[in-house]
Amino acid sequence: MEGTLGEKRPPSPSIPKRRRRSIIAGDIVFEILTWIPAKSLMRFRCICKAWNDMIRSDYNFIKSHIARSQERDQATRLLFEVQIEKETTRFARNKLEGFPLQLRGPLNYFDPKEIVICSNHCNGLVCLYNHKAIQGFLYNITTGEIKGLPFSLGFKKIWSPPYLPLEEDRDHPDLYLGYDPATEKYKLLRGVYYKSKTSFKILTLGTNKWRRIRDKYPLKCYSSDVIFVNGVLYWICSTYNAIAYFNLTEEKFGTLSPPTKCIDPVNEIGTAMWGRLTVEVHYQDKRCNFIYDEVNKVFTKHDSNPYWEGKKFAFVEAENIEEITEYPQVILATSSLISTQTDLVFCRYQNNMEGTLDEKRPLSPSIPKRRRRSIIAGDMVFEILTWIPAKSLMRFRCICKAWNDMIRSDYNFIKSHIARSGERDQATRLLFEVQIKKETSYFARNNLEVFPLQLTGPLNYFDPKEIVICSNHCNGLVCLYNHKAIQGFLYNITTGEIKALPFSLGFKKVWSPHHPDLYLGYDQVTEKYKLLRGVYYKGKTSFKILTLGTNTWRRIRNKYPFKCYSSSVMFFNGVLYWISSAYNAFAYFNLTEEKFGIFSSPKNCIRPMDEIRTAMWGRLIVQVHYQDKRCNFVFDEVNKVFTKHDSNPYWEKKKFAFVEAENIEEITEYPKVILATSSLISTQRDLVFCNCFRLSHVSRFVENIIPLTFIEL
Amino acid sequence: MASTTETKQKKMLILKSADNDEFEIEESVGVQSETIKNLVEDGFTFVPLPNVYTKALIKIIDYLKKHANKTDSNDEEIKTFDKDFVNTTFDDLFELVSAANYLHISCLMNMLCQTIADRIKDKSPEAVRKIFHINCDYTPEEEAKIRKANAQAFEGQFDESLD
Repeated sequence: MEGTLGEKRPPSPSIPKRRRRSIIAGDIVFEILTWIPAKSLMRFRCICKAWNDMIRSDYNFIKSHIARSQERDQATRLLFEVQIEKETTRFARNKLEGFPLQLRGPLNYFDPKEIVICSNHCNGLVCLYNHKAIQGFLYNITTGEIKGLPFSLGFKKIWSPPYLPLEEDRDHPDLYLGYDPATEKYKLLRGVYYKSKTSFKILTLGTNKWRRIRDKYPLKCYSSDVIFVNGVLYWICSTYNAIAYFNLTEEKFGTLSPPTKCIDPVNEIGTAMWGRLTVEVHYQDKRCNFIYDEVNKVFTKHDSNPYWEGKKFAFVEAENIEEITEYPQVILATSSLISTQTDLVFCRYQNNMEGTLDEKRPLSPSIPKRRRRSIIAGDMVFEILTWIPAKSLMRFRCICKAWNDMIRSDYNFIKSHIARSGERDQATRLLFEVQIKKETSYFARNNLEVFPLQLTGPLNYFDPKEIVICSNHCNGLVCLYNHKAIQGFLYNITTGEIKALPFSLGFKKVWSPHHPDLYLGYDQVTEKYKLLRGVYYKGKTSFKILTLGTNTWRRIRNKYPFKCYSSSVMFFNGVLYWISSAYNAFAYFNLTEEKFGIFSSPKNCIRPMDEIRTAMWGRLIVQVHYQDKRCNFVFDEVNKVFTKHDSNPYWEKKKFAFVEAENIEEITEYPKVILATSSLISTQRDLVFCNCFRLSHVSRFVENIIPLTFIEL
Repeated sequence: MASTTETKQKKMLILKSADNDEFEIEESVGVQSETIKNLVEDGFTFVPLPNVYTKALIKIIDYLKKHANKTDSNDEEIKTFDKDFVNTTFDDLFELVSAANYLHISCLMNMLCQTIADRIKDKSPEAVRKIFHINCDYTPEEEAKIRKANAQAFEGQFDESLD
């Protein structure tokens, strides 16, 4: 059949023609929306599906929006729990300037008999506890979203009402939410009382497992007044002149002594306002704020003008708080940080007037009633789908929008799926480029066992005159190069997704005119993809490197260590290896250090690198003459030596398999290149290709559904 | 064949299902569940399970009993039991997976998820929608677009059955 040009499918993206009507491009919308306050953004979710998807599920967008909010002063807010007390003491009111506190955002009224706010507020998330149902909730104050914690909280608690006579109705769950900035994980700490001993348990959100803290709470006095600042929980204990703390990264308790004559061991408002642990101290006959220096572990005087010096501190009359009802209520409220005075003092508030409560919006999460028809919960679907092979998963995208959103844009789901695939043997595959040759020579065929290679996944046929597969396959991603258009592409073998590289590759190349000398690698330390390129200029060769996401080529000062180049390059474990039989040594390039190096191969090396075995075993393998036999030697990356591999090499048994890839299409007028995969477990270890196929760039990878949009280009 | 003195020494737990049925099991059997283990460590012997219905709880207790007596010799027997255990309808599997998740029995959870995944992986999207009681919320155009974007994944024949 004659194909017309229009039927070819060369990946040749062109710059889209701009329509005359000014339609705003998607990335500009992205940019603009990062500037929108969260409340408006929640409203904009109903504009269209694309916006909703971006706002709710695009991890990049969410990250950018948070980063932008940190730059915008208006986005920083103060959060407090306001409890309205019954009696009022109008102390020293006359000296004070009263001002109404502007409470913004939704005011959440709680009945403290049912719901308790666990005492710490962390990155805008609050942990709520329903002590009737023994159920915890995570609440995002900005969006108002609430979610039940999926694990049991049914331990006995330490601080029961007898220890806390001051607030007779409140039953505190001893549950503290914190954030570990080192691992970027949320953790829950819980005090447990068992057989008159107290201990603490900790749970990292996402693991659902409570771990016991070996360390003991260091003070004899407990307090449920806890404040979370910068990765540390502080216990405020005014009877002892000491502060207990718990570091969420180290998961250890400790104490620190406040300065002498401490009046208020932790000044909560000062701490929240300045974002640093602040105490109030008698100093030179005055009251001062001392701020804790976390690095040097000392308190230093804060040079702001403390309000008591000017005798001008503000007395808050929260005007928009609703009338008090028969029992005291707790209100979770926020105010803007910039409009709030640093000298914030709450007045004791009383109101005996009877008011109607028609507009009350109580937030009372209760355990949802289960419908008897077995509808499976979303988190169970999440769990099940992590076990589904990537190909089926791509098909399941069309089941419904919720599934599609999860599969394509839920970063947590993608990470969990990749982790699960790493555990599932079936998800590890071998990838190779097969080039079909014109002539065939049937050498030594009679003593070999022949089996057909099951090629799984899509077979990609390329015309090597147009598209070249750059020699390295990395985490299931391949770099393709169109040398007519001088354009590079990133290709995800598992999902079939392809994306053009947005930067120029138009350097002069070192080696053959057909090979782009372009190598994709992955730096395991920074978790970034990098491209290495050989460049030839004025009779000199050098290398340039680019980290995907930065779009700048940097020159490598280090030189390629050999005079002879080879375009046969293999990437694994963060290192690119050059296979060159001319020298009895290896050239390599470490993608973290960005340096070239050499190491020598063992004596009597027959084949400097055995690509298939290297890919199969995931370690660098060479073939060596050893004690009159051929052996496999494995490279030990830590000690930089080769050691003998104790597997039985195939040539000893004279039984190796000869691959006839049956499902490869008939050869056409010009040789074609096929990018193919096969399952690792169904492939024999002694894989040898028959002569009519030239095999190259074999590598192993784990199925990887990560959308290319998640890799910054 | 335990003697009477041995049975007396064995600590017992009472589990209460969401339908208010109570089940007595040995503590050593129950602690395979992280949730129960946490409560037992804190001195509880009565465990209310408001998220687990009787039907699922009976099956799960069977599973826990079988796996509590795991030795090298009955490995085959347990494998047969497990195979039988998951040979049920999707709705039952969903009920069990929710219960296993609530009770934190990770080996059961993994087995159930793996089973469900293996049973649905070769099914057509239409069949999966019915199995999960999902209403398709795509317009025909939207669905066609996604199918086109993942054409590779739609090559071949798929299982239309619902079991």
